[in-house]
Amino acid sequence: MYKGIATFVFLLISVSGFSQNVPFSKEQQDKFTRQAKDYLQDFVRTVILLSDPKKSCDATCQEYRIQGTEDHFIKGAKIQTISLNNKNPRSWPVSQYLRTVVNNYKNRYRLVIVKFNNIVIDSDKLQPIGNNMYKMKGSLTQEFCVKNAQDFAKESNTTNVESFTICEETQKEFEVIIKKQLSASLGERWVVLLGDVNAKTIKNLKGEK
Amino acid sequence: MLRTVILSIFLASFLDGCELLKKDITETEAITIDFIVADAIKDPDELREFVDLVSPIVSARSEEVALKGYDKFLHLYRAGLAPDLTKVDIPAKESLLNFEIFGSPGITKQREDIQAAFSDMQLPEDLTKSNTLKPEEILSSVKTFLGKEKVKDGVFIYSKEGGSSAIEGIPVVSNLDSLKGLIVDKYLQNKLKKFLVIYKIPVEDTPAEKVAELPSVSTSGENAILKESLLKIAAGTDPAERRALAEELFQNAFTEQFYVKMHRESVDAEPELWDYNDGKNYLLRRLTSEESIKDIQIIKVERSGENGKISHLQLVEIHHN
Repeated sequence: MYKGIATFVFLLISVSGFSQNVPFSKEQQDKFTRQAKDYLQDFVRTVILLSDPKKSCDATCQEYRIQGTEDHFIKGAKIQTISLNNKNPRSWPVSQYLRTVVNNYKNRYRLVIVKFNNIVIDSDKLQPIGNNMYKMKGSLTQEFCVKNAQDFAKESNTTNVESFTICEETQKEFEVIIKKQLSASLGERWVVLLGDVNAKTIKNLKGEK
Repeated sequence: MLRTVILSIFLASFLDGCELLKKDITETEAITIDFIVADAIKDPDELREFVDLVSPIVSARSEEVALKGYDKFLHLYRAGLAPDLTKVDIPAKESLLNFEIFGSPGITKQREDIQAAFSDMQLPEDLTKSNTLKPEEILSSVKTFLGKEKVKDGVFIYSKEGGSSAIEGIPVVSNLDSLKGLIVDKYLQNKLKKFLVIYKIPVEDTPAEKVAELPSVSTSGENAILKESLLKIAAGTDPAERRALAEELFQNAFTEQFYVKMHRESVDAEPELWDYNDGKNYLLRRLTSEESIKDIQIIKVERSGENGKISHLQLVEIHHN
């Protein structure tokens, strides 16, 4: 009887031990986390560059920027959008999101403010998702405040929430993929890539007070 | 018979090629570098950098030509004492004249001779006097001087403290090697041969933002030139011009496939954002589309044994936000 329980406990410990058995040190995991956060901030800077009508980035420059940002995502990754009017999320391939959704902001708005705040990545829960591939999950809060021409003409310099045409906050969840990559010149190494960025909830920041 | 002739031609070409490979830089191109000194100099050692600058400048980018700005005098103008600048020439010792009589030795020897010719310099009184003009008056007198002399291009402010990137449109350079690099660039791009370096001009009281936690950064001459070139791309406002500069830099300085590892802000605190063998894409895609880079620190440069071009580059981008 006792032998049976001991075997069961041993098996349980072994299984849970194996599931946590990842080939990375704590330092490596921290580095992956910081790198993913950097990629996200780089992604935001691309969104700002593409959506600001005042930025001097011509078509080629924009294309380079889009391609550079796309390289930080795993192939096939999607960005989900949600709006106050339509709370059914819609998914876009990364490059399509940048080329159409974001690029269109500068035609519709005179001022676009986008920020990623509270970026949290659960690096302790690294899950194996295939051969030489691991996944971490994270969350962030996206602040998106814009002014159309009319509101911009009224108060161009004010950043008071109420002065914006739209000012909303979206709770998003994202995936971070750690993948073993083999390159002829650089050898075998682990690379960090961003996965899908999904929209969960949205709230209007205007009229909150 | 024909085979012997062909073999002889081949051997002659081969030996000629070897000679070219072995050739030391002996060709020099004369340029002039004048200096405006806008505050008192108390120690003659301060002028050593001027001597260094007028000694033949050799750079991989100027290939086989060294730029020589030396003369029998160091040509200086003193600002800060009166609205009109005072001309102050410091003569070289006779050894420089001997050097001219006995012909041109190698560049290294020329540099040594010039340093020797200007050693133990006595500071002329005008250089040691304290300023009587206010900073804005000094700036105005220098501007008037530049207008009178019709100097537009080839003017640099040399300020070890750094601060602004430009004053009145004149680039501020904080590193002597970078200054040499810029002079070489101007010569290569526009065949410019007349240069003016403004020293000790009152600069804004805002020190350059300190970059903390960086590892020891190489400040060798070539790296300083590379840094200036990368910053020029990053700081440009016209995207097409930035791409042209990036393409030119890639063609001139990098191997076809070079490796770039780029960190943001600090290699201690942040991981790399770019770690690929497609360095060309880094130069063309990222560096030309980034808008907030305020500084670049070069951490590591490796060159190809074949052609001396850069095959490996590790750097840190420092951003405004």
